Amino acid sequence: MSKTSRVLILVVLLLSVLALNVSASVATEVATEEAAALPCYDMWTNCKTTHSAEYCEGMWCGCMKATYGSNC
Amino acid sequence: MIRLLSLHVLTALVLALPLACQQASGNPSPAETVREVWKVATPPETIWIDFDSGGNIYALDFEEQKVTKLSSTGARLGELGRPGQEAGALSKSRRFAHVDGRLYFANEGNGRIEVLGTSGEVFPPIELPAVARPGELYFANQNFYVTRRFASNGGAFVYAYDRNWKPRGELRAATASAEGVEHLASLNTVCTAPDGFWLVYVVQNRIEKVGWDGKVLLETNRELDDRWPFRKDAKGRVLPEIVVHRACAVDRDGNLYVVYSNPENWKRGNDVYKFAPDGRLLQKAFTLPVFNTTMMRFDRDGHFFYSDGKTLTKAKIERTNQQ
Repeated sequence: MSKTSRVLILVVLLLSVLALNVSASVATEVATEEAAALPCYDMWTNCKTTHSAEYCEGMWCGCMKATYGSNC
Repeated sequence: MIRLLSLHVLTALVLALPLACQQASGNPSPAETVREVWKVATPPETIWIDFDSGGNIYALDFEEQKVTKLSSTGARLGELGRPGQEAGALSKSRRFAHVDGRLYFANEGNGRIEVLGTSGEVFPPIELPAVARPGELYFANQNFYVTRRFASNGGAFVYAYDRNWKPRGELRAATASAEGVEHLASLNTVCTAPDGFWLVYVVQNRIEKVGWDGKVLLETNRELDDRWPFRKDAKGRVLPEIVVHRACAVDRDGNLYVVYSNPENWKRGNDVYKFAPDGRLLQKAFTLPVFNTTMMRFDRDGHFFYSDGKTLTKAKIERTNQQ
């Protein structure tokens, strides 16, 4: 096998691995965008326009518990 | 030809190595196992426990704002405290400490420190002018430490007092801004260690270790993978939405155990990671056999306690492989 063939095989191999990495990260980014809703932060922002920080903290904590199951 | 094939295989391995390492770091194998000693029902929502010198356990329920007293074997001995506003009553209390035969509660809803005897006797509450809404309370290093859970709006958020409640200083300055991002992102919980305390931020991937003098000794975190959908604002700040850390505990050697949320199911929180006293992430310690951990802590003898609210488990931690 010639030196050129070896180099070609190496380049093809390298490109295949890179393509796999790129497609995986693109898929992850798409999934992340889709999942990235902000129900509690948005609720806090809306609440703050009409209520006190203390009241909105309670509302935010309620949202966090309902959404994430964690008692903030 | 064989040499050429070997070269190609080697090249592929080298190229794939970073991916493999990334996956391994995001999903390491547990290093310890949790062996149950006993488990008792403590419904509906146990959020903190502390111990007296006789080994009795006091379990605070967040929803009902009362304490169940248990023996060291988990036998129910009685109840103390009640929800309300009058002296001796609790509101939104999350933490308390047993010191010199009394229980001191961070009575956030009533804006004071509540004091109860170990049989429920009511002592005069303690008002702290500097802390309008005490969020958490600890006794360590012969001092009380009271914190505000939201560390914004200026002032401080960790306050030290001696055992007679004489102020000993404000240890950590809060951010001056009351803006939504900084206010919510400042939500924190504290775990005391032999040489200071860990500040674990609930909706940030950020953990600080602070000395008894208030100096930040180190900052650490666990690298989180792409399954954590953090979003940032125009200033590049992570918007406070995802619960990252849910509870923490420190063992006798000063290692920090932290419960993380699970990105496969955000309501699940039982994966526990372990940090060395110097802040190094050691590895995933274990997965607790409950769905959602509300608290965990060690007693003086090194026993490990954890709760999912409805139950309280006493356990021993055993090492399963070399760290």
